[in-house]
This record gives sequence, C-alpha cells and structure tokens, in this order.
Amino acid sequence: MNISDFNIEFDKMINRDYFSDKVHPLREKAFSKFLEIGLPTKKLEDWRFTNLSSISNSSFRISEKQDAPNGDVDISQYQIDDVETIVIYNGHYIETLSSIPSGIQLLTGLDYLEKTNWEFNSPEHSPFDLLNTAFMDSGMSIVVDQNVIVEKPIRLLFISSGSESLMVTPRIHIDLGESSSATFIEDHRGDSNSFFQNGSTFVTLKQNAQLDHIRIQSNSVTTANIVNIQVEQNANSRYTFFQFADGGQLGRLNIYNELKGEGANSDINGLTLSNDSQHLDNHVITDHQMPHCSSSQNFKTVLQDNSSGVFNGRTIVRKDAQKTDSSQSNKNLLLSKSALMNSNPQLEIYADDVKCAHGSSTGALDKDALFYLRSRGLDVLSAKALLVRGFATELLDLVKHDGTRDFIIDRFDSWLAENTTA
Amino acid sequence: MSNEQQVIDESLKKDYAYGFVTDIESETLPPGLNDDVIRTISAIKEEPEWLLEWRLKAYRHWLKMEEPKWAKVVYPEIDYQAISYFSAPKKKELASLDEVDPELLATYTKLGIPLEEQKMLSGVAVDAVFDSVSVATTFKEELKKAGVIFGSFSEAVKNYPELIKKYLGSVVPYTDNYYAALNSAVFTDGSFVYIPKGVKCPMELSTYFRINEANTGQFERTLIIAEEGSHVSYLEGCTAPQRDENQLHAAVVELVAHKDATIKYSTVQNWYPGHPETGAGGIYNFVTKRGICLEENSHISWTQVETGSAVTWKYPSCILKGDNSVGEFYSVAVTNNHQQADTGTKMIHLGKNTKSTIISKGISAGQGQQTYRGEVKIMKGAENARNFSQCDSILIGEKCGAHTFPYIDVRNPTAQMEHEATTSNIGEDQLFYCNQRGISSEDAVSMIVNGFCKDVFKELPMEFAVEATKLMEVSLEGSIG
Repeated sequence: MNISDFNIEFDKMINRDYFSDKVHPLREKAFSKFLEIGLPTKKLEDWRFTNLSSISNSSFRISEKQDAPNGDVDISQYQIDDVETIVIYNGHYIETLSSIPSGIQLLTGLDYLEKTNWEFNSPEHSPFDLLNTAFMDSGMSIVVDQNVIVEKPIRLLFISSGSESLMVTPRIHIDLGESSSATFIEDHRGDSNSFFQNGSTFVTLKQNAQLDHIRIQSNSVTTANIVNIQVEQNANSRYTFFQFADGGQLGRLNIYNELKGEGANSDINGLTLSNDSQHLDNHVITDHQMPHCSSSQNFKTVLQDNSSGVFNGRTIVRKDAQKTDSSQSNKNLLLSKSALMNSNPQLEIYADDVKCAHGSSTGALDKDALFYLRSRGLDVLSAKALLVRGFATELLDLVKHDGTRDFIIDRFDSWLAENTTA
Repeated sequence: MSNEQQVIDESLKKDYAYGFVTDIESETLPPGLNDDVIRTISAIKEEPEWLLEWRLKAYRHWLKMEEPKWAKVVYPEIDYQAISYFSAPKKKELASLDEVDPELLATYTKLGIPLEEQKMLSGVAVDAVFDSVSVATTFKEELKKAGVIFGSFSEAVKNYPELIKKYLGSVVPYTDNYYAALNSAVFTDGSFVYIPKGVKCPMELSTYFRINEANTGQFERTLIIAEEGSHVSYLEGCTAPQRDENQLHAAVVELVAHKDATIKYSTVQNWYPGHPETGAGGIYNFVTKRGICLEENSHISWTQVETGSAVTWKYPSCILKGDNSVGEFYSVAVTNNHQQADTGTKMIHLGKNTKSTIISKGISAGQGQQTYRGEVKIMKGAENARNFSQCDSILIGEKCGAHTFPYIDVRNPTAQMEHEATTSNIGEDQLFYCNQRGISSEDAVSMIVNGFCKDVFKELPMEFAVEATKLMEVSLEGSIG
C-alpha cells in the first residue's frame, strides 16, 4: 500500500452510503495525521526489527458488500466448544450465524460512541492506531453492566476468506462495569491468502472487574495482522491476556496496558509458533501509574525454518507507583539454524520502593535432556516434541476455559507434528 | 531519621572536591570547526599528509550525520561551532619531569597523583594528559626494555606511523557514529600502547585525563594493540575542575587483541557532574569504546566505575571475532543529583565458542536518571556462543529513575544466552538490621552499596578498587533519607 492506494481506499470509505457521516470528522482527522507520518520505517526504534514490506509492497482494497458471503457459510471447521460465537466474515457481521450471549449489551461502534458522548480517547501510539480510526469498518462493542458475571465465554470469530486482497479494520470495545467479570475470545481464522487486518481493541475495566482475554491468531500464514490493544484498568481490577499465534506472514501485537487504579493486576502472556519465513512480533507496554499494582509479562516463542520473532516488553513504573510488583520473562526456542529472535525486555522505573525483575533466554533444545529421553527409548522426533511441549505447557495451562484450551492444544500439537525435524 | 537528614544536608552542601582550575597559559584555537581548523590541528601536530586526509574525510562524513537522539538523556543542544577544538599547554618538548611547569605538577599533587612519588613507589607508569597534549611520561625507559610502546598518540604518529596507519579506525571507523566521526576529525592526542608478541606488560599502565581549558572539547584517541600471547592492563582515571559551562568530551578508544592476547581496560570516571542543585555545568561524556578479539583465544575485559559527568553516553563493546575469544564488561554507574547516564555494552559474537559476561550495577539517587542499554548479538557463525548478562539497579530516593533496555539478537540455535535484571531499593529492614547492631545508617548504606558493587570492584586493580570505594562514598554520602 502506498499513499495513493490509501487515498483511493479512504475516498471509497468516506463516500459509502451505509456508514454514518457522523463519524467522518473522526476518520478524516486521523487519516490526515496518518498521511503526515506514513507507514513506520525501520529507522524508528519501535519498528527496527519489523519488516512491513508485506503491507507496503502489496495493494489491498477495503471490504465491500459483495465480499460478504453468498448464502450460508459452514463454520463447523472453526468450532470451539462451549462458547457464544459472534461471526464477522470479511468484515461483515453475520447475524444468522451468531448467538448473542445473555447478560451483555452488544453495540455497534456508533452506538458506543453515542453512549460515551463521543468522549473517547483515541490513542496514537503508532500510525496503525490512526489507520484504524480512519478505516474502522467492523467489530463490536461489548458492554457488561456492574455486578454481572458472564459465565460463558464470548467469542468474536473473524473469518477472512476468498481470493481478493482485502484490508479489514475491526474495532472492538470491551467495557466491564464495576465487579463484573467475563471471558472474551478473539479468534482470527480463514483461508484467504492475501489479507491485511489492522485491528484495535479497547478494554476498560471498572473497579473490581475481571476480564480473561484470549486472542487466537490462526489465519493463513501469508496474511498480515496488526493488532493494537489498549487496556485501561481501575482499582482492584484484573486483566489476563493470552495470545496463541501461529498464523500470519507478518504478525504484530501491540499492547498498551495502563494500571490506573490502586491494586490493579495484569498478566499478559503469549505463545508464538513460527515457521517458513513468518515474522511474528510482540510488543507489550505495562504502565504502572498507581501504587500497589502488580503485573507480569510472560512470552515464549518457538521458531522453525527461516522465521523470525521479536519480543519487546516494557514495564514502566511511574513516580507514584510505589509498592509495584512486576515481572517480565521471555524465553525462546530456536529449532533451526536460520531462525532469528530479537528479545528486548525493558524496564523504566521512576519509583524507589518497587520490585521489578526481568529475564530472557534464547537457545536450542537441551542436548542432555534429549539424550536422557532417548536413553529411555523415545525416538528423536517424539523426544524433541515432548521437550517443546514441556516448554509451552506452562502457558497452555493458563487458558482456564476447557473448550478453548483443548482447541489451542490441538492446534499446538498439529503444529508440532509438522515442524519437528530430526 | 534526623541523623540521616543531617547527613543529607551536609552532603548536599558539599562542593565538588576536585573542582579547581589550574592557571597555565594555553595555546588555544578560536571556537569553531571547519577545514582550516582541522588543517591547523594537523599542522601544529606535524602530522603526515595521510592522517590529515583521514581527518578531513571524517569531518566531511560528520557533516552529513545527525546527532543521535535515541539515548534516554536530556541536555540543551550543543553548538559545535562554539567549541574550541584545540588547547595545549604552551611549554613543550620536555626532557624530564624537572622541566614540567611546577603549577601543573601541583595540580597532579592535588589530584593525588604526584608523578615523582608514583615513579618511585607505585610501579605505575603515568602518561598524564593535560588537556590535549601529553606533557610527561614516566617509566618509559623500563617499558622500553620490555619492548612495550607506551606514549602519547602524537608521538606514536611520528615514531610508528606504520602501526597507526594499520590500526587507526580499524575497530571504530570514522563512519561509526556521530561522536566517533567528530573525534576522528579533530582528535588532538591520547595514548598509544603496543605490546609485542609474547610480552606480559611489567606494570599496569595508567593515564590520567584531565579537562582544563574552558570551552575546550576534549577529543582523546586511545589505541591499544596486544600482539600474540601478550598481556596488558590499562587504567584510565579522570577528575576535572569545576565549571559553569558544559564541556563536551567525545573520546574514542580502540583495542586490538591478537591470538592469545589479553587486554584489561579499567576506568574510574569522576568528572564534574554539574551543580548539585541545578545540574548546571557538568561534563558531557559521549565516548565510543570498542575492542576487537581479532584471533582465537583472545580476551578483552572492560571494567568501569562511572560516578561523574552530567550526561554519559557510553557503550564499551567487544567484537568477538576469533574462535574461543572472551569479552567481559563490568560496570558500576552512579547517578546522583541531576546526573543522567545511558550506558551499557555491546557484545558481538562472530567466532565459535565465544563467551561474554556482562555485569552491570546501577545506583540511582537524588534526581539521577540511569539507563542500562546493552546489546548481545549472536551471529550465524557463532556456534556454541555463550552469554551471561546481569544488570541490577538500586534506587535511592523518590525522584530518581533506573531503566533497563537490553537488546538480544540470536541467530544461532546452539548459542546460549541469559539475561537477568532486578531493580530494588535499600530495604528498611536491611538498614534496621545494621542500626540494631550499632552501625550508623550512613555506614550501613555504604556497606550495602559496596556489597552490591562487589562483583565489579573485585575486577578492578588494587589501587583503583580503593579509589572506587571512596568515590562511591563521596558520590552517595547522605543520599539516604
């Protein structure tokens, strides 16, 4: 996508009859800012390891009405047991396939903006935040009232399909009222080979609210996935995030997590599997602004073939955030000689009475452990697979919901079967 | 607590103990930088044509470069045209110490480095760099017997041009970074060390740098070459007079270790950190230090104790090219009052079985801001490379900051690398425990901090270790509240 491609697509967006023109000023402002800065380059510290050529060298068009499915779609292949599913197909909400969970309010983006009196703070951490505001075309706002406990996980299933090169820009809002709790699953799948998704998710947790957020990035290995997650936490709220990523030619997860109330807690975790020439990037910022908060970041990557990965974690402890307890861990397993991992666990600390630790390690499978298993009669492949499985188990166990965990473990095992080599 | 408060008050009032200006006539160029200034510097130093060409190439390259902005430090923009690029004490060509300006000698005495005494007692040869020109070099004779060349850079240019030509810029090319390019264009002097094959340098080599002339940027260039099987330990220590104008220091240090050679480079840096209350007038220390382990089994070790300077931008690095070569980095950095430091190291593993160790201890007090920024790069060919990094920080007080930005790039699966870091404060329980046993808070802090830094101090040569411990006490005294 060069700038003129973006311009053409933006004109189409603005002239679309079924989008409310109330949102246009918001889009126009963000787009003109985007035009000023353009796509990030490797010269920027934050993007120095991320090669965006799969976005900048192809051209995508926004998804139109005709890209919605003709008739029924079989979603049984995307089954996850025991969840409420809302289906979004190439950026179009498919009501017939969706089951609306009880206990929550589902709003469109516009309804949500009206509800919040348009007092919405759009972050501008990167040009992709601006692009999302300019092009937002799908997604959902989920509002949970105070004291409501939503038992069944809510899944937003994003399917990308067809042979067209589409650019889809979902925007999700999740608002949890005081003392409410929910589990939310973002599930990205589909068979489309050329696809650029630039999603933003905004999470707001009121006091004592609790959200389990699971993100599955398992779409085709030739797509580009950019995701920007912004989390605002109030006092004593709890946020757990887990990403399982094995899809995407280019994947980039940006999380900006603000701990704005005392006693808030966040745990951000990720398991990334990559092969061929995939590049999967994880950028996480945890910003401690108030005292007595705790946080952890735990990311693991398994890399095969020529794939590359990045972990860039940053924990910021502001002046007032005394008694912070935080940890950061990044462990990476290189299964091939040509895989590359960049690990940057960073701490930025301005308060003195805090406990912050971080650690990182990168290496191959332990030869002694392999020898031990082989001496007990396991063949090379099973021994290696067992060790990789052991490496990942700590994270897989974090998924509390049975159906989702089973699905992720299946997916993990089949990846392992394909990618374990002697 | 009132006792501690008193200590804080006292130490806050304390002026920089080493702040004084020596009044010696200097030969100084007017401020500004252009081709002519570089030609003049080169002419004053009677340099060969090729070196002038090299300087001019570096200058032209520098003009095309931009000042780096990625470091986590804040300082007013530097006007490079307002700096005078050459300053030298007027009296030159001294045959012995007796001819040295007595006032200059007195300066060294104030700093605790009486040349004569050192000549007799300490067994340390001192190449004292006063501003930009080496004035006196002791112990030359004895080193000569061993075949070691130790002297000022400009002498080396005259006496060993083939060595300089071969190695100058071979580790830090003038294109490397903004400050290295500037240094390459205008460097005035520095030290040159050459250890021939199989020689273990009979004594520790030491240079005291001193910034003097007001408004004079100090552009030192140090080159150390250790031939096959040789061994050298080099000490660099710095103190500077108190000033109200910021002074720029952009040095370049290059180390070359051949097969089986060992170079140990230790630094104690205590330049004027700026006014304790406003932070005004401190030194800017933008240094490029890099060593290359050129052949197998070579070893380079950097040890640094950084307590001074207003702004520090410094990453002593090792390129581990030879198989089985070893790189080490041990650092203690203190930022107090308004000091800022962005420092760390780079370990670049190219050869097989290369090993590196990074131990970095940061102490931040007052409104000090400190950043550890280190890179460990394991390239494709670095089979079985090994790295261990540990960076710990202590925070003292509510207004300081400690940041850790490690960059870890691994391109070879047989490599093993580990990084660990912790950040904490001095625990009330630790202080209470010491108090309870009759140790004053001040002593307790000093004890805890020294224990925290022990892993690094034990790497320092004896005399330096003593100086470092003292420096830590002076730098941190009373910052506990």
